[in-house]
Amino acid sequence: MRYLFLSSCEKNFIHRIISEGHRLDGRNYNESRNLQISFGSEYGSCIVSLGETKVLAQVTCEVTQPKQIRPNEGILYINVEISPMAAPQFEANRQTDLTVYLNRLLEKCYKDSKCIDLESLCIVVEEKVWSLRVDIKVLNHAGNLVECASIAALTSLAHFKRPDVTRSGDSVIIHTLVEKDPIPTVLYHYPVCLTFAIFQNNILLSDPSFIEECVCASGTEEVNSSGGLLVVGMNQYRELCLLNLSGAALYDSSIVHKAIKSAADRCKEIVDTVKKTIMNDDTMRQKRVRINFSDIITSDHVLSLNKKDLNIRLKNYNADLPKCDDEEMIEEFEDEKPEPSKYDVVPSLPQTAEIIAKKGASTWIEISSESDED
Amino acid sequence: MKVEVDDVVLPGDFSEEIDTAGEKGKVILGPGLRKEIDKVYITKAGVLRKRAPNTFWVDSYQKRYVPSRGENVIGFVVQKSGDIFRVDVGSSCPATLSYLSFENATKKNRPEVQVGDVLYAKMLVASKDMEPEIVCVDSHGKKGRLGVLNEGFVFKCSLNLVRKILNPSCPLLESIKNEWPFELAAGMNGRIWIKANTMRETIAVGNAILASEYLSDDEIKNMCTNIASILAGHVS
Amino acid sequence: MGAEEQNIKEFKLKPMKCELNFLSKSDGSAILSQGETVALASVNGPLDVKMQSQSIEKSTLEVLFCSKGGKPSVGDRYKENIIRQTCETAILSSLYPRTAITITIQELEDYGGFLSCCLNTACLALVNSGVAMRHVFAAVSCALDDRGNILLEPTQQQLETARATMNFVFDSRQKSLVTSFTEGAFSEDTYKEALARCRSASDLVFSFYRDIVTKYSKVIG
Repeated sequence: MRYLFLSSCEKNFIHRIISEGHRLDGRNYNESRNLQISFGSEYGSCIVSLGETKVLAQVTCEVTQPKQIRPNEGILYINVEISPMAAPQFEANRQTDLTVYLNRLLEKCYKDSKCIDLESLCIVVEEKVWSLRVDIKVLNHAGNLVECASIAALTSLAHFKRPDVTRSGDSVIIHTLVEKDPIPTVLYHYPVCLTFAIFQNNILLSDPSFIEECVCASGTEEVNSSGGLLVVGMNQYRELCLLNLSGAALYDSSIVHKAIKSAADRCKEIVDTVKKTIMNDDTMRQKRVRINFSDIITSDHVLSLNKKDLNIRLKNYNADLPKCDDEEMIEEFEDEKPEPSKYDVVPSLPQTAEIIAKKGASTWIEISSESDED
Repeated sequence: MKVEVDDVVLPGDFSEEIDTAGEKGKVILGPGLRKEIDKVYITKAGVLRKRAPNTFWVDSYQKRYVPSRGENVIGFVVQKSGDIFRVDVGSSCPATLSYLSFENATKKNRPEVQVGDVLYAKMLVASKDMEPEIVCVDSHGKKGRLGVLNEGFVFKCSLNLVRKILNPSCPLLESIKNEWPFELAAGMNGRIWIKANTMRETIAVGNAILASEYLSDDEIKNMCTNIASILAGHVS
Repeated sequence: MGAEEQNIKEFKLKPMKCELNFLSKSDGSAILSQGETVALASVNGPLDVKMQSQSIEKSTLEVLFCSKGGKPSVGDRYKENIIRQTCETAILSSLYPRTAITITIQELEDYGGFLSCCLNTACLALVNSGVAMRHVFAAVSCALDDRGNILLEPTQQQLETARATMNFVFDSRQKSLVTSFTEGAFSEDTYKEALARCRSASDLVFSFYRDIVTKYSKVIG
């Protein structure tokens, strides 16, 4: 993995705006990015995007022999892949620490929490069981992979339907989807992993962006108390499934309680969205609407370029300008316009422009003009 | 395919205008154009542009920086080794910066540069076969506006956006300069450094720059007043 | 470009839909659907490269194909090879010596003509990344049914019953053949006939590329 470098100026800025109560993209501390789930044509394939982070999940099944110690249980296998598509710093066909970490967290969340009824995946005891394989492919890594990947894994597992089987004597017939309706997977509960970034040991940010994830664990000259990333796995019944802390040690345990509290509401919200989108998808499929990944390509807006959320944003900024409602506001500003500007843009060096105050200069402008003179 | 100036072009297209101009006199080929044995071919998708009398180039979309001589860039110091600094400018390999290429720097008087600092520098050597080299002084030994950038915030954007906001006809900087004071350094490598009096104002500058990427000139003006009113607290 | 528009023309291709810059972290990316077949491609580069795979004359092209699920297979490596060889002819790699350009392709939906779709997506992602290219390329697939008819851009049902499938990749300069890969048995004349048809159909793909670039050309000025 290539090393990704963050400048001290970015680190300081992030630390400072967070301690002032803001976030770079204008969210509140406990606000998450926009969650979107879209399904592919097959059962168990979905793309989940959390802001700009995008993850593809696909569940496949095959018949295998069960494990000796659990002869009447099916097998669940989770595989995470991070290719160079996710971000340029990743290399192809190379397992990074992040891949292993993500894989282990998801295994803990979905295998060890026993949310899937593995016994229902059994066909013939000690001989044939269904083995479910969840493939998670990271398409774009813009922070908080854990949460996005876990929603993707959960959605694809809940959406997946395996072919029906009938047993007659020794032989087992697997029916195609056309012959017999496929069977959905049984989920006892719906666990989701949420990530919290802890800053300066007392500020809790939900759904950290890429830069916040990088910055939170590193202390700087100005701020030496460091934080870390806390992953909370929880289901819709507010039952805790996993806790994982990476980064610095916490000396205040109340922050964990705070995280669990806010995770409970958020989990419920996510699980409800997941259930609702799966229901919608089901009714669409029953109406024989062809669902396909090509639906996520938006061709209606004029540009063929994808429109991104701004990663630097003021709290109340709205990208789709409400043009009519603040007409008054615009007029108000037009009245002020004739007044000559206090500042002047002067081209200084090629490719630079600088704003110089005509009067009432702020302190930092004076510094820059001083440096001009020498 | 044969194309004209101001047409949308794809790699592999050619323009007869460039060839005929080339027969008469010298032609300057900018980015996105390449001379092969018989003709000048286009290598990037975008719009073919011409500036009289005979400069041609292609405006294209790009995010990855490929160093080119004389451009001002923003880099992060990643390593100090002996008498050079290694500076990440977003290109395929880090640029080198000698500690002597600062104003008034001598072997005794070393510049104060730490790993992690943000630098505004000029590309001195940029060839595809060599490591890029940057300097923080101009040819007169003066630093001008080059050097270490303190505080503020650096963010990445597409190379087009940098060119767009630096274009004198772009209303963005003209509009926001009326609203609140700020400092800005734009690196042609797709990094922009901003600083204003308060954190909120700095974020507002970043917001305005990023939002202007796909907007037309009129929309930019509108957006700037909108941001200014949010900043002033008129819009809740 | 709607299906109706294309139907007027002599050759029918499946309706194409595309979005560039789909991924924010990659240097160039494209998602393309041709009918129900969908592929996603990302391009990163020029980037630094490990010493052992570094070339002093040109940039190293790395292609990675990811299937949707299941274990990686030999078929994936075969696809990577075809995509790499095709892209190598198109990219002016001598402009970026001692660097690497990585192309990653992710399968999203496969309903026939998948490899052609991958190639077109890769080309669009390269166009979006701003890497210097000698030419753009267009891949067109066709199938030969039992009665010996040539079907352009076959659907999945047509592919199942087809005697042979042929795929051609053309460059945009002289429409000369860059890559061709076939499956099944056919006569030499059929091959020539199919080649000629696909060649004229490639015009549609090229004009689609131009449409896409035209759409965003207003904002890159």
